[in-house]
Amino acid sequence: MGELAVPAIQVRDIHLAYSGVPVLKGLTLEIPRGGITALLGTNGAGKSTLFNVATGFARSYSGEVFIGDQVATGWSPQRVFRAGVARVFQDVRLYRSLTVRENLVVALRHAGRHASTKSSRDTIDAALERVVMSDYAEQRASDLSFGQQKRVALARAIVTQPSVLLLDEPSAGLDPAAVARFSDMIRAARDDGMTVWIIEHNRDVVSDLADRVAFLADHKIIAEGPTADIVGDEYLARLYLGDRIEETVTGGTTSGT
Amino acid sequence: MGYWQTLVVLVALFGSLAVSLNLLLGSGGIFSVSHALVFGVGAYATAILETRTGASFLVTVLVGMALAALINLLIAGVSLRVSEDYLIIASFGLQLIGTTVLNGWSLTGGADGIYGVPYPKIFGWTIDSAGAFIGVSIGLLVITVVVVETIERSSWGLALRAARDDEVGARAYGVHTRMLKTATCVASGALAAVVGSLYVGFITLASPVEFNIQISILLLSMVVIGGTGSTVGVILGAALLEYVPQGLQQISLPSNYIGPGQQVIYGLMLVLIPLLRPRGIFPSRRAPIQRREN
Repeated sequence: MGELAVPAIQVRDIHLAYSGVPVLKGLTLEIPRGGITALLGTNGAGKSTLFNVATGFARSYSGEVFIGDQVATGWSPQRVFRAGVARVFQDVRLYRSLTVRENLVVALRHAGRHASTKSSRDTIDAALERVVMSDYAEQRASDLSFGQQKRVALARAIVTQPSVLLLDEPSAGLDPAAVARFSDMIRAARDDGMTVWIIEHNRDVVSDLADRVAFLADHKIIAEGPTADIVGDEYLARLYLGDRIEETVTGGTTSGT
Repeated sequence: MGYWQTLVVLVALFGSLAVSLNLLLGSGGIFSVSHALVFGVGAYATAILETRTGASFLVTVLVGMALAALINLLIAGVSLRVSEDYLIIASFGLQLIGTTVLNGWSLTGGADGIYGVPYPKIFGWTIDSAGAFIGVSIGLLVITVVVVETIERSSWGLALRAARDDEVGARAYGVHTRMLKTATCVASGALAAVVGSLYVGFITLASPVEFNIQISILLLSMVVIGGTGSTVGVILGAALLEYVPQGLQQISLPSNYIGPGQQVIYGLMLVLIPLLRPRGIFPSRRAPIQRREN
């Protein structure tokens, strides 16, 4: 890791099985501090499971998890969050009956930092402005479109100023213009000093956003490196992205799901 | 005591129970079928202590609250480890065991219950007139509403609704969902026990049939029919369902039809109201929202 000594997140030798079926076998990965790392892999490869391990949602696994220089193996999701790791879910998981503002209030109040009501309000307003949702602060989350909900989910994460931001499939369910806007918001979070770790299927989004890519297959990371090397790798492309490339060439679409 | 006066007291008391159950069901999304039992724990604590030890009413209220809180702490503590669905089953089991104990234990007077419970006495003042009971039961309703509304408007209530809407999403953002729900069960149980203490002083009798599964279902009906999550709604739901048996008497239905008639009307309401008014007669902004399919 050179001068950036301690990675933001490390998982070491993770073994995890669901009812006897192995999902992860000896997976080791470091997410370097700063920048945007993408996790690629086919459907069912265990990408979300790895996110679950990193954020305390997976319980019965062996191996070690580190958040910064702290051993975080077996931590609860709440503790992981208070340690500065915020996760944006693929299916948003907002609090549907609460207003947009209340969604952010819940996250801010549980982030483990004390703040006055006035400064909390300003912090929330700033986060909503970042995702262009200021006009919707008092709307119920359930009344928003999926794209708007996704932006609120991002705001709920960045409002707490986490050191690490995990995003599960940021482009899923968004049209190309919305994907571009959402990518800009993710870059802005990175520019704010957050380490960003994304799971993403869309190769264009990966090429556009990520500095580094880790490729998950056969229950572990089989390749890792700068984005151009991994995305441009013929072998990986043929093996795991084959049909997507076909689709891109023949159908002119890049919105693989 | 007159007919309408009795009805007002019962509506105030069952309104308090419905409001305390609404804290669980409306804000917490926690479905309990043993609310009548914790209500009964308060009632029996007062009946037993007053008739056997001569303890003062307020002391018996505190004992009842503590016991009811403890029972709900245990049931929530054990079942929320598994799942919320398990709590429905566990509370059903608890309710059945509770009714069996009340029916069979000599301390609780068995199936006959405990007669001759004295009128409640607070700071030397005996509540023994219709006016006094109306005043005190409405006072209790107001206190229950204030306590529940205070909880619901606090960080506790907000986090509770977040956990109800999305358990995983709440845990991911620092909410200790299980602890929060357990605390809510404890608070709700303690509130119901207070109503039990006053109720038993009002009817001067503690009987197992007053606290069985039918009453638990009646309380749930008040909440669902009135509008889950809405304080005003569930009080009106309580008023409506308390009035049904009286209404049946007024249309001079033969007395042997009143019991079954009541059950049929409750049943019809439970089937029709969610169909016609899915969020209750008086829907609330705080009510849970069903996930829409995208």
